[in-house]
Amino acid sequence: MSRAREGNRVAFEQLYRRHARRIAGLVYRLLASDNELDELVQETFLAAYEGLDRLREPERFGSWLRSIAVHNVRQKIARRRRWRNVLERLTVPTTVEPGLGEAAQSLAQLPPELRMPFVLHKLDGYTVEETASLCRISKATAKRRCAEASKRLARRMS
Amino acid sequence: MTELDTDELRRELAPPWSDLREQRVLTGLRKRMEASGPKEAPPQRTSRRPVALSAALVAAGLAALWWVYPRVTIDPHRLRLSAAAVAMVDETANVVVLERDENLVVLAQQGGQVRYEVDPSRGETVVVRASGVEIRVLGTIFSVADDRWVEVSVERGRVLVDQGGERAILTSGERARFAPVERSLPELDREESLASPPGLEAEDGLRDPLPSQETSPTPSNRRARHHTPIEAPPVSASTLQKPEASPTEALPRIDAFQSLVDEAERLRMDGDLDGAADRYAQALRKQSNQEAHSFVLFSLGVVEEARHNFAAAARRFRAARNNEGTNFVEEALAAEARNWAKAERHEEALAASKLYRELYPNGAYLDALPF
Repeated sequence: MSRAREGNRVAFEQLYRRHARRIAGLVYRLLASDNELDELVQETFLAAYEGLDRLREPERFGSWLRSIAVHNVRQKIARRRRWRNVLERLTVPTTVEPGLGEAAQSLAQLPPELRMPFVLHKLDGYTVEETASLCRISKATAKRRCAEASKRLARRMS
Repeated sequence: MTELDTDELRRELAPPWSDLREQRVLTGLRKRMEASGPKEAPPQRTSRRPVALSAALVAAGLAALWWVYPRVTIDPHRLRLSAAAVAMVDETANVVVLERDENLVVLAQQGGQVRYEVDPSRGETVVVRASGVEIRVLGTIFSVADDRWVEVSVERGRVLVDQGGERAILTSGERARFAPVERSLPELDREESLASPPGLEAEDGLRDPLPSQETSPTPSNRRARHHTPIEAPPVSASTLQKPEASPTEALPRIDAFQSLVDEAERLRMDGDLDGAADRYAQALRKQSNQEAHSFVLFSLGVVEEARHNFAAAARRFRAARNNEGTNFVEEALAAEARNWAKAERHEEALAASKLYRELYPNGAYLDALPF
């Protein structure tokens, strides 16, 4: 870590090797899509590389990296929305990618507002506080959205 | 409404990620890191401190070696069975190597007591068979006593014990006894006879093995030839009449290919690289599909590199690119060159780099080649 912080690319690549798979999993679940996975993983690590010297607690690199990934996904979803007709896309199922499994398809059909807190809290083990902070919503809203997402998924997958 | 099973959902939502994909993303990341400006520290920042530290570590290592080495005695009972496995064999035990390749050693123990030490970092699977009980080593120290009943004691690590399809995992401090299964002993009189301590390669290669010799019946194998099985299922005649068959063919496969790969991936996520390498190596032996084989070889290469087994990694990448049906020769060749260089095998690194340049004059990994 210290060598990576000094700008050593080889050391940073080792960090990439160690964390890429987990970041890919998180991004995949948050997006419920494979289409932009590579790009987002790459952007997450690039942002980390560029901001590594600003990381105050190197031992928290993993969670810091995941918060970058969540931020990037939020940005990506926001950009998507600007290109689409906003209100429709919030509730209407997005186009389902071919090749996605049933679970991913069900997740993809949730609006991002529900999907993100659900994935972070229920699937990736973040606390309600962390989830609320990452999604920039209140704790009560995070809980409510998780419950709503669970309900919809259970209905779809039953 | 049914309750949502989040564990199941989490499993189903594993990303379609692979080592190859990881490598390709990294290639793009490298370019973007370069484009983002020179973040490499100036040379003086790689100060003398790390060099001094390395020198101190080397000196400490040499001192430790000096301290340990003179105390190493050649013990005829201590036998190196493979790169990863050492056995302490008592007077009455016979051990035979039934099968040996780069990643697998299958041993048959007849009688006596043997303490096995297996180094998990070698990525080698060691299987010990004793009176119909198969002990698959998952990196550990354990003993097998074959005295009518087979007793397996695990000092450290884990072993998977299989008797006719009944399996159990034993971990540190556990001991189990198994009723023996009657077996013929033709294997003991052929192949690499490791009959009792004489004739075995002494550890550290400090003594040449004695010339091959016939196994003389020790008290224990005489007993084994004549003993009656107790509470044990008989071995089928067909098994006994096929000494030329691969020893592993007669035994049930422990896991399906996919579940082994899944477990390897999970272990990697948990940071257990040794366990992951072991599962990948097992998966390799169960998969005949060339493409899937290549992917596992590539993954194993990545794991070996992460474990700093650079030569092993290079061999894996080479095997991956040589496999029929591989559609990622470029990545595997670049990775092979890189690992040969890290292993300081400069000739191989040069050859792989040269081949890469010939095949991919505009390749994505040209900048990363060691030569």
